[in-house]
Amino acid sequence: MKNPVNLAVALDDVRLLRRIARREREAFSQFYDRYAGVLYSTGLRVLNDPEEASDILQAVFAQIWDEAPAYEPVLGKPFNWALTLTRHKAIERLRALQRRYAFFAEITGEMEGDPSAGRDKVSSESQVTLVRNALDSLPYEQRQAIELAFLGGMRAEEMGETLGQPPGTLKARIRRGMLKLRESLRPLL
Amino acid sequence: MSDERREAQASLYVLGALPPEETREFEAALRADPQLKTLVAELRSAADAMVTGFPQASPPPALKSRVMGAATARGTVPAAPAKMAGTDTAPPSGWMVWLPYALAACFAALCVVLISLGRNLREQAVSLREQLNSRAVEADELKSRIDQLQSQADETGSNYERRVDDLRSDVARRTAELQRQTAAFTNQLAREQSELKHRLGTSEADTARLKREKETLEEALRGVSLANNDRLNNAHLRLMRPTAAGSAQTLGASVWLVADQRGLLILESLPTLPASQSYQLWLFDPSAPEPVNGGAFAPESTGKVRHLFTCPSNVRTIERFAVTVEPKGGVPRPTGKPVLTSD
Repeated sequence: MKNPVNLAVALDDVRLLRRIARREREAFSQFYDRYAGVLYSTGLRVLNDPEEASDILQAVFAQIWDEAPAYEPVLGKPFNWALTLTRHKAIERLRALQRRYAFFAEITGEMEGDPSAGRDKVSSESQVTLVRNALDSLPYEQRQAIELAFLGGMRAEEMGETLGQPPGTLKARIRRGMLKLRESLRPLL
Repeated sequence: MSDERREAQASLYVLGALPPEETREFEAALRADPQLKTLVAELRSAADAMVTGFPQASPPPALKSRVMGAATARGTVPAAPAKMAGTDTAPPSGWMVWLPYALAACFAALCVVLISLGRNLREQAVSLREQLNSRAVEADELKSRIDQLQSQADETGSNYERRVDDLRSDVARRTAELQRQTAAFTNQLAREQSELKHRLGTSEADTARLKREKETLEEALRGVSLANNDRLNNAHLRLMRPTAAGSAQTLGASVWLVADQRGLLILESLPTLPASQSYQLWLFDPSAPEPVNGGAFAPESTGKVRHLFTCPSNVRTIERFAVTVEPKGGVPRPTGKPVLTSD
């Protein structure tokens, strides 16, 4: 069963995007306040550079403003769409800078500033705890492979060269890790 | 296709790590399989939820105004296209009135030619497109086959790695077991060797003792002058061994010649007694009511004894000999415990 809270948030996000499509600045401002923190944090985790992360965030919101009229809910929730845009732009920038994603084993610390200010405004404390526990419960090798793919944009072959492991092994790790993550986060799905 | 492979593909797909050529094949399967679609949706939500668990940071405060400013600049609706110039000018006159009809006729003729050419070209294009589609399908099938083989190779490689790991573990386990068995065998061997040495030592001691006993008996026999074999046959010869009350080092033999009614006691390593005490020999004859006195004696300073004795009564049979410690000079009947006996 879908999480009713998340469903309500997703519906509200869809309404916001429709208003953005009608060029309502107030709706755009609300959408920014809601997700700028988590999208900026994602860009920062990929690029490890505040200025680059700021540029990515600005480009993402410009694209949201431009493409909101073409947004179709059937393609996914607004947050997932915005996150996909952020990831792709950050990974492209990472490649343009000829850098590799730096994997951090630590997930519980805060990067800078007020932690609550960076978080998106719809994830409750309990949801964040659930996600962190789920990530903590993953074996180091599985989480590393998942992050290198998701935030580093690496394929199994590229990962294999970096980590010195056969691609088949890395694919198996990703599969096991993702299935475990899905089970741990089932209350949110 | 195995569920595990589909799950691996779905995981890589939502993470954006599935190769493009494999993505096409997977998306085709995704369109046809509702369960796979559900799996992908759940995995995608799980992957996206991950970012909320990572350390968070707030964007620079000034960034929002830049974003909003950029939106305002982009949000201007483009102006509607301007009307075509010259649409409200006066109509032409003279020969120019026929000019449009002439141009229209030429245009119609041209259109007929072009339509004919176009039909031919379209037919060729359709044919080429069909060929292209056919080749594309073949190419997709080949790529799909290559992907499948690649995945099989990856899975096989992974299986081999697991088997190699298993074999290594097995070898390590068996090596440890062999080492343990070798150590146990070595210990057992050492124990048996030690026991054998101990037995050898005991045997050597027994051999030495028996040799000494044999020498003592030979000496005892040499000390007796035997006139003939009968006399020897009537001799009672016994080995003397220490009792618990005597010294363990003492050894000897005693002989009694019935025909001569005399005997000889030979001992070695007999401890010296205080001046107030003497050793005394006793003969046990079953027909006598009490032990028969064989006389008192004292060892030499070397512990040797050579005691020739006779008895106060006639002794025909010897059951055993015994030596006791008695007051100096001896007593009529034994009072001390035996220190040597021929039992």
